[in-house]
Amino acid sequence: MLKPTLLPNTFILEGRMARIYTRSLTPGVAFFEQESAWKEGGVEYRELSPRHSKLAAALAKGCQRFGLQEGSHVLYLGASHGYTPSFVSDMVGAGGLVHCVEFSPVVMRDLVFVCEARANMSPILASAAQPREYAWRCAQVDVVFQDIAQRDQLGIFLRNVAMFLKSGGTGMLALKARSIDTSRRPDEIFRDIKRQLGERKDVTLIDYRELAPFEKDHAFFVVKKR
Amino acid sequence: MREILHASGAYAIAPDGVVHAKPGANAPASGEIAAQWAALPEREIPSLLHAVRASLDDDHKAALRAANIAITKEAMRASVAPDSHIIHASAAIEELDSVANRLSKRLRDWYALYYPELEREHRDHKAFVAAVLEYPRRNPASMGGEFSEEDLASALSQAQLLSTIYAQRELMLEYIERMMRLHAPNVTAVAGAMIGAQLIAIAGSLRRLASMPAGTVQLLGAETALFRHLRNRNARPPKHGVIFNHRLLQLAARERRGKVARTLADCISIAARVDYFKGGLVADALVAKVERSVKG
Ligand SMILES: C[S@@+](CC[C@H](N)C(=O)[O-])C[C@H]1O[C@@H](n2cnc3c(N)ncnc32)[C@H](O)[C@@H]1O
Repeated sequence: MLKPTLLPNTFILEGRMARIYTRSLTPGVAFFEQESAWKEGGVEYRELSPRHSKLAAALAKGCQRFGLQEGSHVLYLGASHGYTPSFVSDMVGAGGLVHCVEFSPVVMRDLVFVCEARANMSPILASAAQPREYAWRCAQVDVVFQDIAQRDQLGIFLRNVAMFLKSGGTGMLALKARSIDTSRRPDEIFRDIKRQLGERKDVTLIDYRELAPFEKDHAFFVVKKR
Repeated sequence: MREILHASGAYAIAPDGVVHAKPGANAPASGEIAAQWAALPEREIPSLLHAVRASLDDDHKAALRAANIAITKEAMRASVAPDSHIIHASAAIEELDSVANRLSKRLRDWYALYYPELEREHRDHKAFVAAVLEYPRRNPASMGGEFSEEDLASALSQAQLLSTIYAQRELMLEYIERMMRLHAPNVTAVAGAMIGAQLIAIAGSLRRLASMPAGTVQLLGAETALFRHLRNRNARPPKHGVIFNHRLLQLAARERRGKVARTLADCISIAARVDYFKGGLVADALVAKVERSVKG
């Protein structure tokens, strides 16, 4: 039996926090090898694995604040092949929109195919570090989600939040400690980022999760823009 | 009234700052829109994006997505540069080497059952494969066991395949040499075509290689050793990555290698910048500099 979660169009298998499903916007079509379908009451669901998605890992780790709703517009930074973005596309539904920013042409290839199959996904080949470069192909959003392995992850996130996120909107940052500094301990880096976010006037930290055992040395920060 | 273009359509800004979508406006050329936005003061952008979002009805949303798919496809087409070919060809050589190595060992073990004396005579895989194909019948005094016609034909067909793999490796190497001389002539002269290609492959592109500090170029290909050192300061820091195989570095006396590696990396780094910015040939002076550093 599927039970609703805090995320729109997203369910868990009764009693199993790590078995997450979204109602499929494209029944009958699977996009990824690791993806499996579930049918219940004539509706098709796609399984979202917390081992392959930091958003799913955050849900499985009990994150309470996502800010995503049916119809939300989302700026997704680091969209890669489109795995998690395709599920965010299920979550926000046909009335929503997912702007998918990715800078590697190699993975963008797959992402374009996913976007073509889903009317609420829009691809942008650009670096998230240069938000001005793609402002004219994007719009204000309700949610900014970032998952890029870059040294300046926090700075890039904040610049995008400042430019694209509406006031009152939610920003989610999946942070990889190793790409910030390989020689410092991850928990030290997480504490440091928490402190930096706490000192800011433009955002408030509203949730924080460490993503182990799904992702090693990753943390998930959720902020609300003032 | 000011007009602002956007990938979803055109918008008008009234003097009081109110923005509204201009109905039916055609999607303008992306170069024109990008130029207009590049000139906008940063502080105006959030409010414009807010106005765009407010006008993003189903039609504007569909127009925006269609424009982005078209722009992305165009950028994808343009992203296939000569260095993409160099990177794949150099990776292909590595794969061919690893396959050839494994298949050769297998063929040795197999063929040695039949003709151990020949297997022992040729230590080099390529020479061994050539010898197998040249002398498929053994000396009657051999200590090898009996092979049926079919046994022998099967083992020989593996040798055939290996010889095709070696020929393919030659082809790839010639292709890389041509491509490198054409697109990165200075790097080719200083580093050699193969090492230059490997550096471009590890960096990801000629542009990235050109923007790296020489110290990073020196260590490209030594990432595992570098991370080991960063995590555990007792592990010795690496002195060189793929440039280690460079002819001049191999020639240098052991105690000079650190210095030669540094000079070589410096010169490759300069060469990459000149190649990336299409700045003509500067390689002779760079090669001379590396040669001097070998002598000390
Ligand atoms: C960990 S993967 C993202 C996985 C994806 N979020 C998912 O769950 O399906 C990180 C991606 O970010 C991309 N990336 C890294 N730096 C970037 C930048 N500055 N701008 C845009 N994309 C970037 C990488 O190319 C890579 O595809």
